Amino acid sequence: MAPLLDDPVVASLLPTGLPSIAMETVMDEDTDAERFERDALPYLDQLYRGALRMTRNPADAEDLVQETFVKAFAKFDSFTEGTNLKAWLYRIMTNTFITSYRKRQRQPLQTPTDELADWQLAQTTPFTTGEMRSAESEALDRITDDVVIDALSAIPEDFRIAVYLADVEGFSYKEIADIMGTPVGTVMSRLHRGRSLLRTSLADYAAERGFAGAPEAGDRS
Amino acid sequence: MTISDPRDCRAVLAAVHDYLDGEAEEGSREIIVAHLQACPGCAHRVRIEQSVRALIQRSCSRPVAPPSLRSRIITAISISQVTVTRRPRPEGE
Repeated sequence: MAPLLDDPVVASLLPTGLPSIAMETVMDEDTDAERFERDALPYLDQLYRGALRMTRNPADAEDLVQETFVKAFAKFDSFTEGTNLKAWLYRIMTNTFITSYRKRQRQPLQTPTDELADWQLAQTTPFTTGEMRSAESEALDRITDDVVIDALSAIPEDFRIAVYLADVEGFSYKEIADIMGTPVGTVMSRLHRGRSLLRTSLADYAAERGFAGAPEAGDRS
Repeated sequence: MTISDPRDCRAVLAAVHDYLDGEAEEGSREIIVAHLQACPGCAHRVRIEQSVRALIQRSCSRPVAPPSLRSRIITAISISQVTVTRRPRPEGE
């Protein structure tokens, strides 16, 4: 990977004829940037996908990721070597999203998640309703990515972030709690409720589309 | 989550989330596995739960970041670094 100062855009920003002392300072600092590029930038694709799910649109996702990396670079000194860098980056990104992007989202604000109305959850108590025939569970696998993304986008933000961090990034409850700045119990509850909503909407979709094959109308309990 | 009664489907299913997340409590794992082997109903529900997780994973495995984003970030970092570096220069330059 080319060092930052070899970047033509950056080179053009540097004044010509810098005194040699200033130049040495620049060279010294370069190692930080190199270390950051080497260690942190490889998470770019993962963070971008996470940002897409948070913001739900590519333009905001790009801005969020850029802001995240700039902030992360500015405080890279405070990162403890040997700890989980991906979790550290996610914490900066989640915090940035919650404090600034949420306010100016292009879509209207959603129901505050932890106060989701009981009636919204009534149908999604885990495993107790909407018993699916095994054909329906197999039908789930035929659902396209776009449909899953839509279902994910439709659930409340805090649920969505928790589910994403757990199911896609594989973070532990404790790590998600650190990233989202909430107690572990809240993480578990968000995961639980988010997954219930997703299971219900995806199962409904599969059933409506008749993915399960020939309908056996009387068979659902 | 502790399982009060290994034969109680509700108690087992309540602990299944932790189990699937790899966060099952000591001792719960064996109880859950044994219960699922003996109870087709619960096993079926767990399969659905696993399918939903697999779907989410699969559908979120793309796309990659646009190449322009990478350049934007490198440029933005460089500028912030140059700004920091130049700050201590003496006045009257």
